[in-house]
Amino acid sequence: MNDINQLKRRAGIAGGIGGAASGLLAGLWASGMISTPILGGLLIVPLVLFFFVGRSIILLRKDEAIANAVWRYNRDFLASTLIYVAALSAAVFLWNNVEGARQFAWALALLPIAPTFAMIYFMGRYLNEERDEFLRHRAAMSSLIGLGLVLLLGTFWGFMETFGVVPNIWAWWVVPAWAIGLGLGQAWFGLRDNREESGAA
Amino acid sequence: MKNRLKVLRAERDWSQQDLADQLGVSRQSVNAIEKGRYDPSLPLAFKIAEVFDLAIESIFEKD
Repeated sequence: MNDINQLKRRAGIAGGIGGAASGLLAGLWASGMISTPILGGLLIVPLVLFFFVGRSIILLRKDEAIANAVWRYNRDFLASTLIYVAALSAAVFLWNNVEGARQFAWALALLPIAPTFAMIYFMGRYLNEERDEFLRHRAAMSSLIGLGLVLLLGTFWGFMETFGVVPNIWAWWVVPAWAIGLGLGQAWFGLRDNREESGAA
Repeated sequence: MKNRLKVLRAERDWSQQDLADQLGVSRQSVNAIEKGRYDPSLPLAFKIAEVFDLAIESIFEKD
């Protein structure tokens, strides 16, 4: 059971970091900051993490004691992250390469928006469904760390931009920034708990 | 909030996992409560008291 809890925690951290990395890479690629070959090379990082999450889900699914909330969250968040990467890639490809596609700008923009909203919904649903109050508390605190990071970066960048120090960036960066904060929070709580648990009965 | 969870558990020769299973929570939860890093909700505190067959105030006390 201890191994299972550890596997759950590691899968959650890997899923969070993998999702944040995917969003970040897709954003960098879509804004032209990295080329397609570099994107292909860097995608190995989230893919390895998602492989670990997928393997963990299969292992965890065999244990009926695993809370459905965690399993559902990992599965649905992972699926929506993959759909997000595919939808964003498709939207950018259509925008750049298909004549007439720009007439449907609203539809193209909605392609990555829908799975992003789904990710936010799945996080909210997990917080609502998690029956273990300590794990729920930890997830809520991690989410607040993500929110804090978004507010810090947004305020910092916003005023820098106002005074012409930095260029404009698109507002969708809030979700990857939040996901990075969420992942950092989960990792920090995980490390702290692991450290304190070493030697515990 | 201080608590006697570790002592009570040791008296019964229960591991953190044993207690967690009886409470229907994760082992991390038991560990966090034991270390005083997390104060349980009232329903969970009642459940802990029930598992040990003790009154809440004989398990938990104010700092």
